[in-house]
Amino acid sequence: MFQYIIKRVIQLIPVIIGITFITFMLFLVVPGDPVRVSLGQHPDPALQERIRHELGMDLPWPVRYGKYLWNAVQGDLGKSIETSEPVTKRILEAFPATLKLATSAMIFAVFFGIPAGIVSATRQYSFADNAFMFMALLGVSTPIFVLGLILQLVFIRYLGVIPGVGYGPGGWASFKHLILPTIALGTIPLAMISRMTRSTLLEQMKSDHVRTARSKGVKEIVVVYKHALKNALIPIVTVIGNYFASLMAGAIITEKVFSWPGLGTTMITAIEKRDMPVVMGVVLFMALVFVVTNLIVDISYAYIDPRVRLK
Amino acid sequence: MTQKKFNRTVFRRLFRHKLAVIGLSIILLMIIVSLFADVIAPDPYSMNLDATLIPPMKQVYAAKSKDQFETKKYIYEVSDSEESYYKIVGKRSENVLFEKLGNALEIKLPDGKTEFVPLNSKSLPPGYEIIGEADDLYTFRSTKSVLVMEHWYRYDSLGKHTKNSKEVVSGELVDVEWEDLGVAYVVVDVESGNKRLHPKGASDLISTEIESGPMKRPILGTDNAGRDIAQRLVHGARISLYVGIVVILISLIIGITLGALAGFYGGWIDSVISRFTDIMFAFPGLLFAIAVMAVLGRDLFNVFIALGLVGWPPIVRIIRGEVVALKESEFVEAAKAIGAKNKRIILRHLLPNMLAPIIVYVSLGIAGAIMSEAGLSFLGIGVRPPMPSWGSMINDGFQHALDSPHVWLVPGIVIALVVLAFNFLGDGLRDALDPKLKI
Repeated sequence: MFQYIIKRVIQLIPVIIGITFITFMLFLVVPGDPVRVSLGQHPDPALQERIRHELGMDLPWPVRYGKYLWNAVQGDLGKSIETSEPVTKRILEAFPATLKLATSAMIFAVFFGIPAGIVSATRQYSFADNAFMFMALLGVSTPIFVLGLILQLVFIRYLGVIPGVGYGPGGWASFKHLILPTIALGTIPLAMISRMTRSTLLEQMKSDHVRTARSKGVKEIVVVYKHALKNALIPIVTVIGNYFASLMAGAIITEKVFSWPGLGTTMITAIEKRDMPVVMGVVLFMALVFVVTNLIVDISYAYIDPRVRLK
Repeated sequence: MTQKKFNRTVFRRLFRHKLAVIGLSIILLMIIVSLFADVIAPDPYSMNLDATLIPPMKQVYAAKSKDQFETKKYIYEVSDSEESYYKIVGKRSENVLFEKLGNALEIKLPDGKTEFVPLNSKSLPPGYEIIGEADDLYTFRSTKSVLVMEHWYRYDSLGKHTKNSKEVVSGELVDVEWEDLGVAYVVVDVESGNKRLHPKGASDLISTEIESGPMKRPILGTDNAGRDIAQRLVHGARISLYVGIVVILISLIIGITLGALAGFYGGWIDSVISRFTDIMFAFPGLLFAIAVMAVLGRDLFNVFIALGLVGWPPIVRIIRGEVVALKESEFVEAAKAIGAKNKRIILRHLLPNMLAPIIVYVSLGIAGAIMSEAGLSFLGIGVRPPMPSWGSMINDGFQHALDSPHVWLVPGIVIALVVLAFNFLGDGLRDALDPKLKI
């Protein structure tokens, strides 16, 4: 197991370097000189040159990439052009809100998705099964922002049970503010988890060990939960993990819809202000979170299913 | 089984798939609509800042007031309940609730404040005076000698307005019929048939004229810039389809080339391509597209690039897997044996055998591209305004999302419907072509 973890972590290094390289190259080609933009309409050429030198922008790009990578390893992602704050600080301030949203969305998706999948699989082609699966399809096809706005319309404007959008005052009072973004962000993983649960459980129900258990006279409920579901959980866990990672990116849109003060909002504001160091930092950070989460998923997958380690 | 027979079987299976047929019909409708977009919706761009955020199916009147500034007003009815909402777009762009309290109007402003406007001569426009008032009746009259008008409005117990009136024009009593539009009255001279529009509300008791009769009835209302939503929706279909097709083409070209190279040649070529694909997979798709758009700036062409760059890695994996599986098969051996070149083997022997996953992926990929474009445009980093993409239409309605849901709701439903249609078709195609495909 330990060897497997080491192997996976080592495999990750080129990927992370690749991510930093692609991010760096992407932002190298930004049209418009950021120094000129920040200095206004008629910049002093000497001053411009000095700032350029201070920022290290007169160096060739491989050197700049090396510096960027070295600084990034030390947690320095540059400074915001707009506020001169360190980008890392901005990211760490905004990240907890995004993490909170993504976690609660995932809890919501698992809490409702697995039972829905079990019901669908055990009562295949029943009304409940068809209804769940149609809703799952609808959930996958509805863009997050449309779903979010519909939720706002229903629960904020017409029913008035939710006070409004935004992060809320904090503590328990902001729990109500969390509900709608959670549903909006959690619906796609909910749909995927319920579909995955249904299909893997159905597969398991046809397997030999389930037939054996049944022929022994084991009660149906025990067959489903103990014999079939336990085996079906492995692919479900993978789906959960993979979706948790991509939720971070999905949160960008949800955060805009619900004025949620997370990484997505930070990024979109930075794009509007053309504050590229912040945009670059958030992109890199989110990609790293994505990769690391996927790594954790893989490791836990290997922990649950020893066959994976041997591949 | 011959090719012809296979094709027929596939079509038969596809048409037996009900949802796929529904999906296909929606897609065909979308294609027809986008082909004839210019004919169906000739004017998706013209703005009318005097008639913004008008709800669906409301009759819009262009009225010219007779005051010295000759301001034009757009008036439409919002509701005809006891407490009438009225909205005079252009003059006031918010909903105001008003109630007549005998000799004053109580106006509830959207910020929660209440404003009382007394119905006395001071609040009336120059040239008008109140000549009588009661709980259920008030009358005002122009003091101008040229045109003396007298209206009376009677409220019954339910707050409905009785539909009769007398009008005194130059001292003569003329029968008029009038219709209550909630925000205004259309006054029709019975004898001559002339129509005039009278807005309600103390500050608007100015005699106005219908300029050109009822103007238009925007089926789906207008957006925050007064543009016709229905027309923009039609053009949005064209843009979505355009994005879907171009993006999938870019992704296919990159994906098939790299996938076939990696799978066919193996070795270091495979390693390089596979590692590069892995790195691309390490970016969540939408995040990478957002980053590219942030760098390149908002434009339809840049949307193609951003989403095309995001779309190819899954194709590489599919194609590589298929090529690896197929290249050991007998027909490839045979082609090699008769001296076919690698290029010919890939293009003429391997690719046609991978059409099933490619076709399925195209359908699902178009759905994904349409959804991603909508997402980018919603974030304000997609197509450049005023291009009517469905996502940017939703962004247009975002500021007034809860007051005027019609602006974003219809494009939102249409996106969901179209994405659903492509997903249905994709599922149907998979079942028809090869049920064992795992895409």
